[in-house]
Amino acid sequence: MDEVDWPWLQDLIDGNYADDEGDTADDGGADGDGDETESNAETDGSDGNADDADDEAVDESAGPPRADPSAKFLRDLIAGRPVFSHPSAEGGFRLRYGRARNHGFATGGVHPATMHLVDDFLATGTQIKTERPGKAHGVIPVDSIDGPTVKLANGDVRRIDDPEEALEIRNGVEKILDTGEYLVNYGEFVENNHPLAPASYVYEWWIQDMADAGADTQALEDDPRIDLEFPDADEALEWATEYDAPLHPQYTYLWHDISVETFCDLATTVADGCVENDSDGDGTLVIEYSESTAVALETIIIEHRQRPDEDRIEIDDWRPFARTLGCEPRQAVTDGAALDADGQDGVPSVELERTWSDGDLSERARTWGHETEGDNAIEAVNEVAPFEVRERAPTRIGNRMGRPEKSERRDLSPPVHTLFPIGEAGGAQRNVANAAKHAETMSDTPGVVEVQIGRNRCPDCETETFKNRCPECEARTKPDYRCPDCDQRIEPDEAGRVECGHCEREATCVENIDVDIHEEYRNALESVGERENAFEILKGVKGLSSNTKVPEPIEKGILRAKHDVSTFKDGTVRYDMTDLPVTSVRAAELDIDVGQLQALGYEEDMRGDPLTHEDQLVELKVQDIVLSDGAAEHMMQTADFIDDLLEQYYGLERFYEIDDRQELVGELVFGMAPHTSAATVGRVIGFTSAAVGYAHPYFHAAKRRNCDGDEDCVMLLMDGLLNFSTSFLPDQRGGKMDAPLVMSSRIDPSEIDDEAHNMDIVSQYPREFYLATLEQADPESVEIQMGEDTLGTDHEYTGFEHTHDTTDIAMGPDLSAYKTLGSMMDKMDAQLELSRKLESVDETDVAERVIEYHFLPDLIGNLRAFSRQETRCLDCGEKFRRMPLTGDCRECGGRVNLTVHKGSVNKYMQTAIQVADEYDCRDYTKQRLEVLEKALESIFENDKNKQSGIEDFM
Amino acid sequence: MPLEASARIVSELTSRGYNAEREAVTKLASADDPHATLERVVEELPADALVVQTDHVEAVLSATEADAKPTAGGQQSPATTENEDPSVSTGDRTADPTAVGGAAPVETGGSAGANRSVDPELRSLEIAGDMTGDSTGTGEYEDFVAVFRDRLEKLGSKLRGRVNHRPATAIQKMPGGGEVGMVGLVNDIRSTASGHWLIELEDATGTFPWLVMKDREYADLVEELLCDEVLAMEGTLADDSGIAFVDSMYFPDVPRTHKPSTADRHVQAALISDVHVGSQEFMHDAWNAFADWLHTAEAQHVEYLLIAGDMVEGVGVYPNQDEELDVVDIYEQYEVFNEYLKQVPGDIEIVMIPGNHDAVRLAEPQPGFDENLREIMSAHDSRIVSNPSTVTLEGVSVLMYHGVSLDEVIAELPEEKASYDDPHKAMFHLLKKRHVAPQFGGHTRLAPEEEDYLVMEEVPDIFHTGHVHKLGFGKYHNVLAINSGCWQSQTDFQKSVNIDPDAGFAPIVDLDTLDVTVQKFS
Repeated sequence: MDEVDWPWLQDLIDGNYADDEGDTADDGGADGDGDETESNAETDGSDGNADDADDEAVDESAGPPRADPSAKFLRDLIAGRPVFSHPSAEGGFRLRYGRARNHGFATGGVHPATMHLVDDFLATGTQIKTERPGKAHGVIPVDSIDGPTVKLANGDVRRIDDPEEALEIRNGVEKILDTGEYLVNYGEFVENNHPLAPASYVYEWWIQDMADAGADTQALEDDPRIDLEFPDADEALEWATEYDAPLHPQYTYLWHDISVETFCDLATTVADGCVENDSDGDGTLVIEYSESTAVALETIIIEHRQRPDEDRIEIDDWRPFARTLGCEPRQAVTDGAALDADGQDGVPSVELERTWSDGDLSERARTWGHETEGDNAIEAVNEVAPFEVRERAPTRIGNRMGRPEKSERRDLSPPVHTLFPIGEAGGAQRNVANAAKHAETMSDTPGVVEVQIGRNRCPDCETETFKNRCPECEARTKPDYRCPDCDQRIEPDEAGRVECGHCEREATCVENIDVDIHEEYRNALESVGERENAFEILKGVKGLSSNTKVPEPIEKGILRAKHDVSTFKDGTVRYDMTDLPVTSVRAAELDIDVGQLQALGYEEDMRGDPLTHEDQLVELKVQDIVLSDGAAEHMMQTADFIDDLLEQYYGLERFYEIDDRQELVGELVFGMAPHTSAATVGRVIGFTSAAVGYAHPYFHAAKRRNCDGDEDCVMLLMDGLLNFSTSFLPDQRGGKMDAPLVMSSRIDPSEIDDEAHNMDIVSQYPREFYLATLEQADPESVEIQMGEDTLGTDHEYTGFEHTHDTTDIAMGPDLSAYKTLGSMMDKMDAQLELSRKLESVDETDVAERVIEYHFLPDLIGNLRAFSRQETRCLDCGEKFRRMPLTGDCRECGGRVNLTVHKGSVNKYMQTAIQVADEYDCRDYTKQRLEVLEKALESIFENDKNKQSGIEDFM
Repeated sequence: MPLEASARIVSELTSRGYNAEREAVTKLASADDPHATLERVVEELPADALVVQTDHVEAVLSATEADAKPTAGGQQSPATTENEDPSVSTGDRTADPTAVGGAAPVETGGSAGANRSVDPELRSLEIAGDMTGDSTGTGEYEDFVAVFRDRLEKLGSKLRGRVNHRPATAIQKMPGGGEVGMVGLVNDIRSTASGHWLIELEDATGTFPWLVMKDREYADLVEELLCDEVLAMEGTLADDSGIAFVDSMYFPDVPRTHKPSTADRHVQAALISDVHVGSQEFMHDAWNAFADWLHTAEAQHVEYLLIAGDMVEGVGVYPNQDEELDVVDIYEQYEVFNEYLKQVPGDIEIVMIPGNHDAVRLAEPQPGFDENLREIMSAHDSRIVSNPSTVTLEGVSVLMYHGVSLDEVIAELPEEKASYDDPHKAMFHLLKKRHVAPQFGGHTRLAPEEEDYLVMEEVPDIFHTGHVHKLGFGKYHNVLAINSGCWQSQTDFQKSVNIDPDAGFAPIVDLDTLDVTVQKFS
């Protein structure tokens, strides 16, 4: 095992693999005497070279098919966001092909048990940066794939396929030997134009192998006594031998991860073992405990129990394992009734016989390998096993956490209830109530504040006002443009331009006027019939940024504040969610009933059966969306606000009347992505506890989003129609973005981003596909039906089939640990702790990267900033490029201080040193920290008056 | 060197009825034990002396040093104590080269070929402005303010005599139309809409704006200005007295009449920098050739070697530097550097300051290396001092500064006034400003100490920098400015920005004439 153990990986990443080999040789030789050292070093060196050369040759000709590792995704690792697997590392995510129903584009399926076991760092919607096929994926929970395999503190090695079980055993996990499977759909490879990576041997492939071998798979599938996907060991063996098909994937272990040598040793150990309690055929194989055996079993991730104290390892369901090793149960034992008596005496009832010797292996099997000769035992397995065994997990996908998922209300900072300007009078909080009482000096009238505001004029009675309605006659007012030079009134021309023909200057309607905020505020409260205690605080804005500087009526703000919603710069109330795709749903998981689904036009389930039950899977209509719990809550508040607004301000009937969130189902919303100006209409279909916005992939694509952790917002349709106005939008480049200037009410699949068309919509990938992956073929060379194939046909909105189901679209933790952990330090501690637990992660490399990409840039940057910093007046906020020679503020005479302090420079110093030490980082890294520490000391400590710590007195 | 020390010495001398030369006080203050030295100086003073002169102090100091050397294990003393009388009076005697060569210890000895004078009495090497171990700043706001005030104080004193100056606040209150002068730090330089220049000067009381009209002769000087340098201006107040029109502008500058000191004998110093040991681009062959040359007769007069920073390539100077390092371990880099240093004849005096690649703080002034690194570089008993420091070799003062600010001068000034091709011209500007790194907040980093160590209070005879890896030298008002090249061939980075370094050159200065010859080793 040592040859294929960890250290090679980092060397491979660093590109000095060959160098390190030389070093190892030297190290090894140093133990022996001089002569031997030399000869060893020489032979090892030349062997190493030969190996390298051979490797290349093997790669070209006969080695196992492997995708090249890529460490790109590890760049710019951030403290607190853990690595789940190093590039193509053993123990990392095993690539499984398929599309779950909550899969679309730029998503990756992870088993919910894995999500819990990686200390909850993964949740539905968490973005991960991946090694392949693309750069990033949104994580979705899929429980129809293999879960993780863990080693518990009691020595048990177990595969965990149940999220509940994962939570139960989580505290006892000593090592996560394997993070389980990672589901990626074929379309992902097409979209990224990535050659197909060799597929894991999985049920979907095996069943087609069976059919190809001549088995009547339909009959097997229909047999209620047989669980085809998780069969008994005996059944699996029987099929393998009877049909000459490869061994069932559930009994195919990761033989390719152990070396031929280890494989031979394992066969010997197993042959020396015995079987206990096999009277009814499901006994336990007991073999002698040794560290290397334990490591080998952990590597091939077979479930077993290690009992080093009793010097034994126990394996249940051992027959496929033993047979794969070429060990046959001894003939005399299996059919000799007389020997049962021995069994009762405590003597093993079944013994194993190794049917082959090391010498029987062919040259090819002995030298089969990827990195080094003979590091892959799969060929040896196939020579000794009485059936074919395929590679269980030839492709591992490295990944690390990117952004956490998001489901949050969109608030400006500070939040704004009303787009009404109050200048500085409201204080830092922009509190309108405070502004209404504010007076600059004793002689000022409280509440009268000078603000920049648009001047409007009533076309009927010529009254000047800043309001939309004339206070005298209720007529709709118009902006009153005047030339700043000659004060002449200018009417906008057809193009909307207002230029004074006389002075050739642009006219403006903006002026500084004294607004009596107090009066406006009181009038507004009165007009909507609310009292000040209806809300906690009403926040306005400092100034308006639009061209005509039209203020919003304060009344709207009062009602928003009352319902605790805040407005975006365009007057709408928004809620942000991470986008995730889903193509079919169950009423049960959406917290709705069948009746509600039927009311929305869902009549039959995926198979065409009438819809009668909450568990039936229905195909999602393309404009239906699922709200997160938080979004639903926020939408209900918005609906209440809209209702109050209609009734108390506009004098109309209430529209939504929502008491229960179930009543939101069927309501229309706007979905809108940042940097766009088109809203897409969606319809609420249900709710999920995951902190994401699930919707049809075509809906996301219509908003010009993909799902690799992107987020965008929803707003209630009536809010968008009532409260949005272009006159609020900032008069600057980009000001018109992020506002629903246009709306598309119907999605035409041909008009959306092609990315969404690269989604496969079949229920099974053909056997040819799996075989093509072994050739690492171009994805385009395989025929699988995609979304684009149905465009323009009657089926363009339907027929989105999937290959994998999942119990619930919200499994695993609801929130990533990244969001629940408090400080950056807590997050980083958890990240490093997890890296120790994961077999697939090199914790030293993680620590190095955290220091390299997070701590060092922070330290160096802050130190640089310190020695060339600006200073700022603590009293008036005036900034100075350099410390004033007067010492005090030149503007106000106030106290001036540094903007970068010692504390902000060295806050991470000790932590970084500690991490470097604890995780055994390279000397280079440690020395960089040392040099920096000395630099900090030199700058911040007085050479003649060293600060002494308490230990000096102990 | 702390100011109080000098002040104490002066008051101590005054109390005993002596006046003192400035230089003498400096030397006393920088002595290992100023108090004891002072006592000895007073003892040895001729009875009729009223003023303590530099020679008096030097005589005592060299006597003390000669006494102390054998115990300290210095490289030249074993030879000298055997062959020579260490008395002060033997200053003019020529040493017997063969005797010296033969008696020198193997690893430190001069080479027979060099015929180098090793008489310590002929040599003198004094350091001023070394702040190693005197970094008292703790990074507080007040420390920064103190540094800039000290700068104005020190450089302002060179200007106040030249203009009829008033504090900024007083000028603000003066009636319009009058003539006025001011000394201050440049706080801001702006061009106005009409193409004139507005320069804000700041002194300890406040700021005042000065307008340089674009058609005045001084307009051309504006583009030479850097923020935070000290200037004096004279001009006429505008009628509303909110601004003054500049009539003349003064820099602290080196006086045109400056007469540099020279050594009394023919002796040479090699001025190099930027060795960059540990880099894959370090030119060992060139260095070996240089070291070999120092052993030849041609180099017999080279008795001093000054290294202006970047001994090693360092660690973490730029991202992914480890991939381009020949020696990745920083301590090993210094060990290897030490090995290269050993090749230099043991009878050459070496002075080193750190640079931006070295393992000290980047902020200036940079203290000399810590004990650990000094230990590593101990083979050749070199003097390691802070960046910047002034080293006086037989009366010739050499201001050693690594030169990080040159990047800034070259970037800020128009190309014809400062460029990488003529690094000495950029140095001229620093001499004119009498400050090695005036501008704050830009490229150069500042660590606040109790005084501004970066000011050139005294005019040096030679100004020695490195950093930009270009060779260039010239004289500014008789001060010799030398920027040494480097010992590192073109790096990938330099290639990418089209910098062709001058690598493998050693400029040799005749200390008796301040003439420069350049030896090429690449």
